[in-house]
Formats: sequence, C-alpha cells, structure tokens
Amino acid sequence: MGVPTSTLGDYKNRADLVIFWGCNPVHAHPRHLGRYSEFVRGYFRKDGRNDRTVIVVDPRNTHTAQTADIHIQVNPNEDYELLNAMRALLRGITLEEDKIAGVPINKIKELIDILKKSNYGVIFFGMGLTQTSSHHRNVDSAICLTRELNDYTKFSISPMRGHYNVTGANAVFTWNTGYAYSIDFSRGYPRYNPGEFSSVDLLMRDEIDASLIVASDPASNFPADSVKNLFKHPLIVIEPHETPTSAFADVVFPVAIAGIECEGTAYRMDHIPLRLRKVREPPNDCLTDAEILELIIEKVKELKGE
Amino acid sequence: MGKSIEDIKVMELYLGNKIVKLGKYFNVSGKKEDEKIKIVVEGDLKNVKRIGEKMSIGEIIINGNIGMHIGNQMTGGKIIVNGNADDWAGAMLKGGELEINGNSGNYVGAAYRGFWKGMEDGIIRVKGKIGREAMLWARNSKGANKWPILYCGNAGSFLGIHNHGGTIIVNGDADLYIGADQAWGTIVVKGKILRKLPSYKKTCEVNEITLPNGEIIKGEFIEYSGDHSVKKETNGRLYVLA
Repeated sequence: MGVPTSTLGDYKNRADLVIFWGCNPVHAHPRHLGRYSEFVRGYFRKDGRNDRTVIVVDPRNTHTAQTADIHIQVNPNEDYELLNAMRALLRGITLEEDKIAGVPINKIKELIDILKKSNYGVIFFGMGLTQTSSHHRNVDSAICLTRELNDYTKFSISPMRGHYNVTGANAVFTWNTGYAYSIDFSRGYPRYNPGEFSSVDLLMRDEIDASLIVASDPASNFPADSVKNLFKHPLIVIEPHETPTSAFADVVFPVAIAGIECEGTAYRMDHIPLRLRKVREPPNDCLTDAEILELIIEKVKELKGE
Repeated sequence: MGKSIEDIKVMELYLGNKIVKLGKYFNVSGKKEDEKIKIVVEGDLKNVKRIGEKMSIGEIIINGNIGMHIGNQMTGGKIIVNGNADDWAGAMLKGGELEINGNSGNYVGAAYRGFWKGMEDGIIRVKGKIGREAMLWARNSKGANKWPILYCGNAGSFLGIHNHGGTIIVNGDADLYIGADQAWGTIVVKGKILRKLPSYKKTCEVNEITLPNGEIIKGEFIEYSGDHSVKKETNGRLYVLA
C-alpha cells in the first residue's frame, strides 16, 4: 500500500532507465529481460535495448551485471547506506565521506544525475535487498528514494517476486482480511504483526501444535531450527509434487496442478491476475486444492458443531 | 479495581484460540489497602504476552522474565520488570513509566507495523541491551508538552528510526544506522557507535547537552545533525562520545 509501482507492460513500453537492485534475472527470472525490461521493443522504446540504460547494483559481478551499462558494486549488507547517501545527495547535501558502502562518492553523484535525467525509471529489487541484514528497512528506504525521485521525473519500484503465484497469496489475503501476510485468526478476527505471527517466528518459538502447508516447501527455504520444530508436530501437506516437506509429512494430499490439470487464476509479480486453462485430465481423479480445502472446512465445522 | 480474589481467579485469559481461567495458571492472593493498586507477578512468564496493555493507573511488578508487548499502549502508571522482556516492550506508549531491569527485545517503544505515530509520551528505562528498531516513529508534541524518552544500556541497529521528536539516551554502545530517517529529535550515545550514517553531518563538539525535558548531560560529545536524507535543514541531533 502506498508503493509507487506500476505494471510490467508500462515498464516495457515506457521505461528508459532500468535498475536491478540485488537481483539476478538472467538466472532467476529468465524471461523477464526479454519480455518486459531489457531486450524488448516497446511502444515508446522502439529500439529495444539501445533505448534503455540498464544499471545493476549487486556485490557480485553476476550475468545480469555483465549485460548492464553501469554496475555499482556495493559492499554486501551495506545497501542501506548507499540508499541513504543517494537520498541525501538527491536533496543537494554534500557528504563527508569519499567512499560509501564501497562505492566512490563521484560514482554515486553520476548515478544520481542519470536517475534525474531519465524520462521514466524503474527499480526492480530482489532478495539482495530483502534478505540482507537490513531486511524491510532497505525496501523502506528504496521506496522513499523512488518517491523523492518523482520530484524530478517519473519513477516506479517493483519487487521481483520469486515463486509462482506468491503475489496471488498476498492479494487474496489482502482482500479477505486487509493484511497481506503474518495474519493470526486465533481471536476470531484477523490480527497482523510480522515478527509475532509470521511463520518462521512462530516455528522458532515453537508455538504451533500442528501445521497445514498448501503448495509450498518450507523445509527447503526456512531456517534449519524452525524446520526441526515443524517436523516435531503433525504436518499436513497439500502439494502436487514431492518435496522435502512432503517427504516428512504425516498426511499428503496430491492435487491437480492449476493451469495444467485444472483451471484457476494466478497473479503475476505486478499484481495482474491471469486466467489459467485446463489442458489435460488430472491423474486418478485428483481433486483441486480448493475442493480439498472446502472439504476440510466442512469437516472442521462438523467437528466443532457449527 | 473493586475486584475480590474470587473475581480475579475467574478472569479470562487467551491460550492460543481457547479461553482459560486465570486461577488455573496463577495462585492469587492479596489484600485491600488504600486506593493504590499494586500487582506483583512472580514466575517465568516469557511466553505470556500483553501484560499491562493499555494500563492507565497503578503499579505492576514482575519478578521474572516477561513475554511480548509488556505495557503496550499504556497511558499511565508504572511497570517494573525484574528480568528480561521480549519484543515490543512499551510499544506505542502514551504515558506512564516502564522499567526493565534486564535486557529487552526488538521494537522497544516502537510503532506497530503500519502506524505512523509510535510512542507519544512516557519513559522507558532498560538496564541492559535492547534489540533493533527501538522508538520507531516516536513523536513528541510541544503544544501538549509530551516528550517520549528512552534510556537504555546498549542498543541494536536502527535505533530511533523515523524518529519525530523522541529522546533516546544510550548509556553504552550502539550498533549501525542510528537515527536513520530521523526528522527531528535527540539521540545521545555515551559510548561508541559502529559507524554513522552518511547522511549525518558533524556540526560541532559540545561538553554539555540539554535535553528537551530539561535534563543536562555533561561530557565531551561530537554533535551530528541529521538525518539529511529526510530534510535538507533539520534540527535532528545525534551526540556521540568524543
């Protein structure tokens, strides 16, 4: 909410400055560069790559950085300082340091000039910003920078969402409860508090006594200590594939895959809903996730006498 | 107020999604004295949340560790914790006093996620060290004479982030990104900081600091102004021992 963002079509047709901050789409989002952000011809960007300036901010010389015009090699975990310095320079402040987060001050000044002179800029940020030591505060500062750049030119910011349809989960939670994630229903109404009700924190403090995992794989993504606590209690998994989580589950519901064996809606990383069609029958009359969850809700209501 | 021992024993507590009676988990005893209310809680309560939430008068003494949200949004009275506190201790405090004689978790006196106004008044004192993002979005009011103040031992990173007038005194050392995005307010570190933010600028050296509540701190300090990434001209100040 309140994020200065736009859709991928907008970036494709208008953006002449693309910043990849802490992400490596060449490997993580292979179709992103070709379809929306770098090598694609847009309505106002007829010459494709030549009409765009591409900047990569990353501690490593990634394959995305090798396609860029400018590579800002920031020190690991010091993105916050770089963002902070950029915002100060944008306000016309002279800084005391001559090197910030491993980047010479002159290079940051040049970068600010390029940012201000662009017609339409966009920042794509990935896990290099969200999963390093400053976490959500990096994103806070990046959003502030984007907002402040809009005093000079048009600027947008967009997260590079990782897994398939994570944006969909956020969108559905938001229209149902008002909150995107970390929601607790134990009092009968939704409460939101990341750090208290977020799944990793609940598992770390061992506050759960059972878990239901729908179409996700915490065993390969969560910290080891939290996964140990997850496996201590009854674990139910609704999942079409075999994963490290389903391998240790007490109950596994195999389901039809949306977009192949049943129809459904998925959200693209820019919150655009896409309708998915069914192309083949699911094996052995497999049910869909929605059908299984509805049956579970019916049974729970029956057991609770509602 | 005006409750008998039996009334207190049947008070409702939340245990996950169930409601339980207080008497099942606590032995309750006490006597009626004068009008003052004083509650003493004994035991290790590190999983008990929201004690003293929205408290307005009286005194709570906790002998042991305490869980999250101790004294959050309280408007008056006093809470003393003789042990460690978890996250969100004194979150969005609106008055009163919270004293923790141990360490405290993250988000001490902070605004809950999504709020633009955090701690508005009152005092938090932490003897030991505190976690990250303390005094997030603290806000003073000159007209209403409200000055939120935090005293602590050592502090974690992002101390006083988005500060709008809170006063923070760190008796020991502080970590990174102190006073990030501070619009105005005063932060005093009587020890070392790991590294100052680039948007903070050195203004002068002082040997006496007068806090907004009139308190005077003596000592050789370097004065920085900031955070300049929020405003070009700011009266936000950070003092670090020279």
